[in-house]
Amino acid sequence: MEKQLLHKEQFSSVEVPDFLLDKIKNKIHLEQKKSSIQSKLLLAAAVIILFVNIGIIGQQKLKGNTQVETEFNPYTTLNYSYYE
Amino acid sequence: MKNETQFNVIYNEYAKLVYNFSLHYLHNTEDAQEATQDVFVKIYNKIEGFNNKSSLKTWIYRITINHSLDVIKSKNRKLRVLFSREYEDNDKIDFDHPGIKVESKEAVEKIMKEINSLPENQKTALILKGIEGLSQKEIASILKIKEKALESLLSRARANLKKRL
Repeated sequence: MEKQLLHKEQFSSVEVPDFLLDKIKNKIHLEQKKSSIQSKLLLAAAVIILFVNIGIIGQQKLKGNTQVETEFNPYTTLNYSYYE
Repeated sequence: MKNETQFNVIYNEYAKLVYNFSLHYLHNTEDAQEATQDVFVKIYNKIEGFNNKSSLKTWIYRITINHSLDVIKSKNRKLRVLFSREYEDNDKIDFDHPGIKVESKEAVEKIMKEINSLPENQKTALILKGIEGLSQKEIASILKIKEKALESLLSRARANLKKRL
C-alpha cells in the first residue's frame, strides 16, 4: 500500500529558513552562558559547604579539648585514700 | 563557539536533511524548525564524542529521530495534562507540511496521518524507506537492527497501514 501511495516523488525538498542558523547559534550561546553560571554556582556552593564543614570540625575539636580538661574522674581521690 | 567552522560545514551539509525529516515526522513547520534548532544544538554539544562507528549521516539521523520522538511524547503529555483524557495520535495533528506536492496533497496527508498512529519503529522505518528513499542497509544501520528484521518490520508496517486505510 505504502509502496503505491507513499513515495519520494510526492514530496519536494523544503528549503531551510535562513534565520535558523542564527537562532541555533543564539541557543548554543545561551546554553554555554547557562552552564558557566551553573558551574560558578556549584563552585560557590562547594566552597560554602567546605567552610561550614571546617567550622563544624573546628568547633567539635575545641569542645573535645575543653571537655577533656574539665572532665571529673570519680575514682582518682577515692582509690588513693584506700591504698594509703 | 569552540569549532564554528566545523559546525558550519556540518550545518550546510545536513540542515536540509534534518529539517525535511523533522517535517515528515512532525508534520508541522513550526515544530520542524524548533526541532532542527534543538538537533543542531545537540550535534554541537556531542560532535566531539562522535566516534566514527557509523557514518555522520546515520548519527545525525539517529539524533533527529530520537529528538522528534521526544517532541511527540512531550506534546502528548501536555495534551493529556490539559484535557485529562487519552488522545488518539490522529486527533491532534496540526498538519502543515509545505513539502507535499499539490497534486497528491489530500491522499498523502491521509496516509501521513495514518502512519502517525503506527508504532514508533514502524513509522520511522516507513518514513525512511518511503519518503527519504534510503536503502535497507542504511535504514537498518540507523535503527540498529539487522536487514532481515527491517524487512519484517516494514512488512508489518505496510500491513498495519493497509488495515487503517
